[in-house]
Amino acid sequence: MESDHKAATTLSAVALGLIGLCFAALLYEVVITRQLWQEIPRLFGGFLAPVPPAIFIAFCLAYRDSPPPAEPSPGRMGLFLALSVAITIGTGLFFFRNPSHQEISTAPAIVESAVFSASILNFLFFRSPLAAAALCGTSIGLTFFVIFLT
Amino acid sequence: MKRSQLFKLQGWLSILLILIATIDYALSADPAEFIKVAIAPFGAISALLFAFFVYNRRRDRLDDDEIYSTRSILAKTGIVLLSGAVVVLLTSLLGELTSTLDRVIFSFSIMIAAVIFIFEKLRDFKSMAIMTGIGEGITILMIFFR
Repeated sequence: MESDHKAATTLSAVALGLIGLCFAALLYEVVITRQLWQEIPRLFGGFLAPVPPAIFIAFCLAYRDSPPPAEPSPGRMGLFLALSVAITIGTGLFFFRNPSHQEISTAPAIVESAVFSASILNFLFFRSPLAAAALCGTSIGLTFFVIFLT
Repeated sequence: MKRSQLFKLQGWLSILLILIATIDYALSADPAEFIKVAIAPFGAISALLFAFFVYNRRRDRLDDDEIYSTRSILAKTGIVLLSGAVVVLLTSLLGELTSTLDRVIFSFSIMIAAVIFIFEKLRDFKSMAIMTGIGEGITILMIFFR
């Protein structure tokens, strides 16, 4: 029981650090490619957009005290990771086919910020390894799409 | 995780989001005379002082041990969506009225005054939902409806 709890804590912390690293890379890319300085407040608003619902969910669940996690199975976690990476890249290729679209650098930042908030909620309240794998895969796929495919 | 700390964090975050929206609107607005810009926030300040003068007790119901039921959480989520839609609709319907700098400062300072009144006097689950709706609505307005 004790070792399972420690393994899940380490796993969630590693996922959180990885998502934070991807978020830093994406923010650097967005700020570098943005020329108009009038749009920087809107960009910061986009970064902060998913934080109020996250605080509201944490307010609703504040009585809960980090339950003991389910047993992580590596096969299903790898499957979730690969599947979420594929789904994210496919969705990006479907929605941003023509590269002349102007809003292309705001939408990935909002999605990435939502993933970051959801992973913090997962780390604090739920501690589900499958959800951590899916969120991490979404983040990796989004960063890969933004850096290499646009 | 204390509920009172989360409530205070949500209040500061809503005020920060409204300030960011004000900067975003003000960068694209037409300039106005200095005396109009200087006198614009005082309407909100006097309304806030009047509300403090009338409502001089403080409701504080943020227990950490209380477990909210599913029905209550769903109702408060509806309040979040409703207040966000009200913020988006009102500021969109203003339209031409937010074209110069003094009008922008007047509108958004009234919103800041409402958030400060809720933050100081009504500490409750319902007012937490209203504050979340205001912060989220102003962000959605700033990103998608401009």
